[in-house]
Amino acid sequence: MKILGKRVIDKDFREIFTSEFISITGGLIAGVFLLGLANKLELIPGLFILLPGFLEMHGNIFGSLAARLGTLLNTKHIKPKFEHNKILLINILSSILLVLVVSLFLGVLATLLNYFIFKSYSLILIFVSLVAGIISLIIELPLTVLTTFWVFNNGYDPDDIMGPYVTTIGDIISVLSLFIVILVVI
Amino acid sequence: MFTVREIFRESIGVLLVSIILGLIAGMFLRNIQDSLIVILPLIIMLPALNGMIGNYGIIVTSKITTALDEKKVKNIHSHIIKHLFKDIIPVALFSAVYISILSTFIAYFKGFEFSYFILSKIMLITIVTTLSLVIFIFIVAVIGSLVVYKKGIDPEDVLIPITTSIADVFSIGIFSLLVSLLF
Repeated sequence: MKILGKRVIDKDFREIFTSEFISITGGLIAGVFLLGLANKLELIPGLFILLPGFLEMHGNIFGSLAARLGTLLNTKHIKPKFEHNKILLINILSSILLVLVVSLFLGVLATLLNYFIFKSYSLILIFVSLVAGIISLIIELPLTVLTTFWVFNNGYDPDDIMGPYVTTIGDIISVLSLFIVILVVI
Repeated sequence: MFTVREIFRESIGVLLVSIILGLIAGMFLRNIQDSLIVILPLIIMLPALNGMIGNYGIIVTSKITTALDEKKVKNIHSHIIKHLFKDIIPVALFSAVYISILSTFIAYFKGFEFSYFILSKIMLITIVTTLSLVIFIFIVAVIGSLVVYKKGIDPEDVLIPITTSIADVFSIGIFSLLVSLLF
């Protein structure tokens, strides 16, 4: 868009604005789910401690995956395809390993904090963290790779779009995964 | 080309630190849990606000890494960095206002009693939290990317977890502080 001959809204601005707008709307959907989870969060006090770290873990791991793929695509180190794509496979395997290790660590640490600060012994937090992590991994990993390829193939810059997309989808899927596991546990 | 072990080794340390910071954010959250349950827009906006601020770290780091790989950025005075800042601030301001209005609107349909006074307080909380952190995260992402890249490490593996963690801890921290002051 040009005003007085000066370009004020460029491609980057448009892409960042659009992706943030969608991200926030998705975040608010996660917020509505969180509202439904709020009473159950109270039943396992440690879950309030676990929640930000759990949401953050997915944003970090899949945000980094999407960013790496975006850079590899932009710099033409990989092509947006699954066949004969060893670099993609390496990135996928490392993301799986990271989710499993970090979910376990998060669960253990939340359990310890819950025990030492709130004097509440709840080993179930480790189970909740690990199983919810695996559920969201199964959904989020293919979504992240496929969407990065789709975005790139359609002429957009994955760097502008994938970050907000991954964190939004990650938030919704993470809250839903927690919801599923908590329903099973309680 | 990176191996699984290299990506894991580069990422795990920062990820574990970010998880610890996330747990600290969880403690802040627990302190205001009563307000969150009573003032519905606050809990509805929480993931959106938290995620949105972290997004800016991902966007800035990704764009700078690509520009560094393409040899288009050499220092903080680069045109690309100034341009990116001018793109991000108006989006952040709009996002803060949008989150406040929409979360209040959704809360209204969930039975929350609407008032302009509460809406203005919610808007103040989101604008102050968003703008202060977006500026801080931008500075960290830019300087961090330049420093880390010079050491031969991929900035995306290091800076994305760092900026999102800063966003998580401080957004919930500032948010909790303002909520306890205003409500």
